[in-house]
Amino acid sequence: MSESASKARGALVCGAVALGLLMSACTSAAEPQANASPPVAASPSAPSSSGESPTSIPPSPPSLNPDYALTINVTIANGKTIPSGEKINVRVGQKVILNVTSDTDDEVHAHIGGPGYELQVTAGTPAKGEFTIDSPGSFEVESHHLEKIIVILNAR
Amino acid sequence: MLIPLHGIASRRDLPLPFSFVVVGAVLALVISFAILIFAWRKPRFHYVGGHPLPGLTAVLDHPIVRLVARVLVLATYAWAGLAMMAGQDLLTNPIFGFVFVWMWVGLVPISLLLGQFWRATNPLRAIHRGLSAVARVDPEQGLLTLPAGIGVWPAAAGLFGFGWLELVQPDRTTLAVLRLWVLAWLVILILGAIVFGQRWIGAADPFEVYASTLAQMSIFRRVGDQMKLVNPLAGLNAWHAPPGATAVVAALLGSTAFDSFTNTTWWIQTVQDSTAPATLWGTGGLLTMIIIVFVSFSLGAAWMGRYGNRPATAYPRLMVGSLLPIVLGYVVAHYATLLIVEGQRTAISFSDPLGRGWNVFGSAEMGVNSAIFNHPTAIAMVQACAIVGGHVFGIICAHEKAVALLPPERAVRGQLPLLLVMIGYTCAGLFLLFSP
Repeated sequence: MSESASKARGALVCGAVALGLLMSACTSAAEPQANASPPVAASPSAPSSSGESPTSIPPSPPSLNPDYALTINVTIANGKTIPSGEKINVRVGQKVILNVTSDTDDEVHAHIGGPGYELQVTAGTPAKGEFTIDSPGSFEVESHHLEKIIVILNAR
Repeated sequence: MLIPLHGIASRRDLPLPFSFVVVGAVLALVISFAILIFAWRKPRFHYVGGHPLPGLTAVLDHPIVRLVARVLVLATYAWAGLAMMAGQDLLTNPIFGFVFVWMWVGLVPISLLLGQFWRATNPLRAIHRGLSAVARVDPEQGLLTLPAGIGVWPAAAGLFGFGWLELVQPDRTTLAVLRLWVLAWLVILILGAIVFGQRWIGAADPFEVYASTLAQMSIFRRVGDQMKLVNPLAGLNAWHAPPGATAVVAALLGSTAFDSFTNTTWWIQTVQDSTAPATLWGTGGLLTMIIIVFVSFSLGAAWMGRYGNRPATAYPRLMVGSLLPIVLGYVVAHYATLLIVEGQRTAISFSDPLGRGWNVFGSAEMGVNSAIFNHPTAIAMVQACAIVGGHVFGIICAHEKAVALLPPERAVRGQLPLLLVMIGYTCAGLFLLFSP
């Protein structure tokens, strides 16, 4: 093997390693910023049904602050759920409040480990429920009747 | 307990932090090219080598040891069968954890640690041997001869079937559905073994084929008549992949990738907002994922035909062993916490198969230790390391094969497309764990 070839190889690998370190440094610097801004999905805007927005729903506070409850407004109508399969970040121990309006009787299941949490919903009547997640993980909140995922809670 | 819509666990691992994805992808890229450029130019694992273990060989070959192992495994299955036929239709029935966790995930560590244990104790073989003894026929001898070209193609179809059951089948955690699948598995395998002899089980049982494929990476390997303690890379390099092995590996990799893919918001929204049935989406998605892996790998390997002296179609099967470490990495990243936590839950309910308050094995009162979930960063680290580590070992295996199969001056160029395909799998695997 010629000396120049091995030098070229060395340079190539050094360059690649430097690139790798640079990229990892960039992303680790970017990470806290991403965490600090609350996810937009945390509180979907008013339910789409007919325009009479429920007045009881409190404005959504910064979702990742454990001192505030995380409120999720859920509308179940015409066989669909809003939100639908969105990921929401939540803190372990933070209170999660569900405000559910549905055009059919339904059960909302939060598979949060252990026996889970269940909220009975009657057609046309807003239902409110709350729970907390005890340990980190990714948990599904589902409409049992429609067999659809409403949100996925990523608890850290 | 509320039954989750998807799978038996009510909790998934948190998404991989994006920085892990980027660092992992960069590492995979850098290490891959470093290996390509700097690694050896002559085959190193031409011989399996290893330390002979005559004592262990004698013990394993002893008829009584074999009998005891087979009876124990058969009894375990019979116990699980009791839960399935007579137990309660609840998630506390151990049969669900037995099939989806103990068998499907547990066979991975069993095969890595104990080599061909699964094949040696497969209850299907025991049942068929028993039937053959009653009928006084040779279990190896069937009514028809299975064509050699069949290889493990039927098992590839079976693995797609299991993937479909695990990821698409509605109500998969109900007894009625599971009974049907288990019945189909038994009938297809046992009837087939009667028609084609025991070779059929080695060709068509998805569990045995999965287990014996992964056992190629075990530290224990039978070479000739003797058990040896071997370098897993050398052992894997010595594997002669049967026809259909590429499809088997594609089914494994594709279904695991699809499992992650179905957790992306894009997929969930698309399926839920569509008027087409979810099973149709699931079937199409699972098939597409498997076909993508199969075609991309086959094309990448076939490229070597331009540089070597074999036909291009020969290379995918020669190279497929190098995907096994990647399969292992995917499995660890996806299912390690499931095996640890749900595996315990299954062990607990295994004491009480009928839900009558029994405590046959003394495990019923034990609690599930789920402290592992309190260390999400460690879990993410293990996941990323598994994916990248699997990739690195895969690249090493591919390189070894390439320098053995291609002329030295063309080996690097010849393996480049396959290297890129493997980097693609790794980046995709990391990105899917980030699960946007």
